[in-house]
Amino acid sequence: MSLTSSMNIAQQALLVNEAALNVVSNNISNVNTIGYSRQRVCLSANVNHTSFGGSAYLQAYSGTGVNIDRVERYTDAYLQSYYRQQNSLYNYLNQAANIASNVEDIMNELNGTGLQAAFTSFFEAAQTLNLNPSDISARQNYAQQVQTVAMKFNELGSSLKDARTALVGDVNEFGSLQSSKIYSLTTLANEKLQEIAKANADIVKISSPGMLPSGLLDTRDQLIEELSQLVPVSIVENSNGSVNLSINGIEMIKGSQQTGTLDVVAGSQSEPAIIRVKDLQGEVVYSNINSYLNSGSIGAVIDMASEEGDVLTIKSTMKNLDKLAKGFSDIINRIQTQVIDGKTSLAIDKDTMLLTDATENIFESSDGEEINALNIRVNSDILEDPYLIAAARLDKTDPNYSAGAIGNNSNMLMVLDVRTNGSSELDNFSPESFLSQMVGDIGLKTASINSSLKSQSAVLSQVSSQLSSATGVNINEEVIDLTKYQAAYQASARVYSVCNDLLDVLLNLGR
Amino acid sequence: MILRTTNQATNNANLNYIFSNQIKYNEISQQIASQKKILVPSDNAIDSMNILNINRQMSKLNGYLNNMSMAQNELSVLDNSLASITSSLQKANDLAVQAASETNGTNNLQSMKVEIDQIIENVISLGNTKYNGQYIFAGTNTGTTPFQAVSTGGVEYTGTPQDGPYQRNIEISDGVLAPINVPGDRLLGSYDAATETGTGVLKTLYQLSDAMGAVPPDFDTIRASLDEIQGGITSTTNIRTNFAAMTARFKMTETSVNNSLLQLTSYKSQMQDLDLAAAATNLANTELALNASMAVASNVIQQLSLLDYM
Repeated sequence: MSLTSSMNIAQQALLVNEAALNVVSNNISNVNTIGYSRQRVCLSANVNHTSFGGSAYLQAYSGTGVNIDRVERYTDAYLQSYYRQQNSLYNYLNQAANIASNVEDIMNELNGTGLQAAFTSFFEAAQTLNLNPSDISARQNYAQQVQTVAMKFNELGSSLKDARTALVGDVNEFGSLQSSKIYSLTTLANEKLQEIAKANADIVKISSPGMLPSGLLDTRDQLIEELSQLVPVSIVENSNGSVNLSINGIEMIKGSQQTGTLDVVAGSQSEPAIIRVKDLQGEVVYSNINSYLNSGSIGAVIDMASEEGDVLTIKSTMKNLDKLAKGFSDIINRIQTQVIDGKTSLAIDKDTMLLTDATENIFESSDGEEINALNIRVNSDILEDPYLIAAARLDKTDPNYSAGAIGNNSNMLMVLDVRTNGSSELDNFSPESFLSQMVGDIGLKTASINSSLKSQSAVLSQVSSQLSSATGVNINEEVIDLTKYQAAYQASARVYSVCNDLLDVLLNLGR
Repeated sequence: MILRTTNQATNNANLNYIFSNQIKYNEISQQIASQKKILVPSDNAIDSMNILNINRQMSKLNGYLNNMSMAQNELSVLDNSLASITSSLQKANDLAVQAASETNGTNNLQSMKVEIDQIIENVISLGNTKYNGQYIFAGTNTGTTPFQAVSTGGVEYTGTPQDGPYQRNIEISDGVLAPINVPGDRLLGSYDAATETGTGVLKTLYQLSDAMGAVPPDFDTIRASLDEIQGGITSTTNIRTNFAAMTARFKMTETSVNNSLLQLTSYKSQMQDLDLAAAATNLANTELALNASMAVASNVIQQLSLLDYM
């Protein structure tokens, strides 16, 4: 035991407090860094002892100063995994709400420019034609309004189709998958996977037992969090500091190796984009993991574009719109051309101005397929010669039947009846009530997604503040630490200078 | 319970408060600007459906109103024609009464025959009345002249016969149809001079004319025609009365349809239109909350730091 040993202790204390200040400074500088976990210096007294004096009864032990035990990184594995889970769900709902509101905007009938407005003009034209069945201008008007309905169907159908193509591509359009949202999101997820595997490798390389590189860990945690925004992620920590990562049970990263790569390929009309998993050798190990992606924004994109009808999807909306287009055109075509209860639908021959059997359909499909919202169009013959529209319906075997009965409006009355009574083609709904059901359904489902998003957002912000409470930086706390270490540093320096003075005294004793 | 908070968390929380107040503020301003409570279906799905159904109902009712007003125009033309026919028949009746007294000489009867022939012409031209380009007494053969002279004498009816599907119907409410025409053969009948057969007042008038022109005059036929002409006047008047009743019915229906429209409009307005006073109050409240959250945020973010006291 000597003065120099006190000086050594003081010197070491200076170094230790300097290091502690360093950590505080690092914390403060990273106060706004996303994903940064605060660090704390854990000090401990040196366990080596030194004895005072020579005589046995004076024997006492004193410590040999302070040491940095470790620099602790504040994390909470449970909160982090919980946060990731909630974040995945939040991003799923957020993406879904965006897409739903897009669908709702397309199908917004409340602004008076939608399909209902087209139906209204159509039935008004039918009323006018009903009053003047042989009048050419009433017929032209009717043909125009029929055209308006078809074009509105086309417009809505293609808006929905474009929205879906932008999400998952269209199997019939070359290159549409590569420019789709799911493609870019999957590419992003693959980049994240790669970076996480690289971070794993770096962590294993740099860390020594018990000493983990905080900065790298923070980076990796941030990457995992970003990945969890896209897909559901779960991780298992290894003893060497690396993590194994899996997507809903499918292993993607094992230690420093990325064992799985996501791959998007074009599928079918009902499932345009299929996500597969390839292993290290590029072999496909999972041929379709779409159903595994039940959370995260990639999952939302897949679900909103999928065929399932329970939740609001673009495809289910398209299917309903197609059904309406098909049902409406079937009803109108049936009334236009078919013999019903022995009575024949009758158009007017424009040359003789006499009734003649109506053979031309009003609606037809532009591509030969079954009529849907996209391919519905008005028969061009009807547009050219509106006299081909059947306004009359008579029993031709009736001895009183006369081809001159061009004032007969029985067929138009049947058209008008479509508005009041349901038709079997549309599940016993009338076209307009089918439409309002459909719009109401979209509204209800969008509202339900929105309210889920709202509550999920509250949950996420709660979890986020909990996580932040465990890992984040508080300036006041750092300021107190700063002051604390500053004081300790000043005091240690004082001890050193006192010892120095005493040494001077000793050195001057001999003069 | 959180025992420790961080600067990032505080900042984010304050940002969230401001955001949520701002979103609410924007929503209310948008409602006020559009004067509508429901902008997209998800704002209130049930009411959205109701609004769409009301729109459809209102457009239907407006269609019925239009139908009835068009029909009333046509019915007034029809009524005028029927009135003229009645007065023509009345005149024929007077002539027949005059002719029936056997004191008239041949010359007198000849001039009466000329008058009767003119009445026949007149009645036929009334039977060919057109409205809006359509022959109104032709049943549904609205493009064909219903009463056409036959080369062998007389007049034939080429419209839809009264036993056939002559009716032209209009819709005046859901599923309720009203016929707005009467077939010409029921009204006037026809006459074939070659076979001397026919029906209705035309047959009577033609035969009356023939009886007056005959030498010697056929007083039996003239006397017999008196009852028939009276019968024709009665049936024409009956038809007139029926259509007058229908016009009255249209007027009544119009009133009730207008009432329904008014009700639907107010119902729709209740669901769709904004209560401006409530919205303005809401906006003021939200503005207050927004201001408060910003004031708090600026305090928390700028001032509350230990550094200020060192």
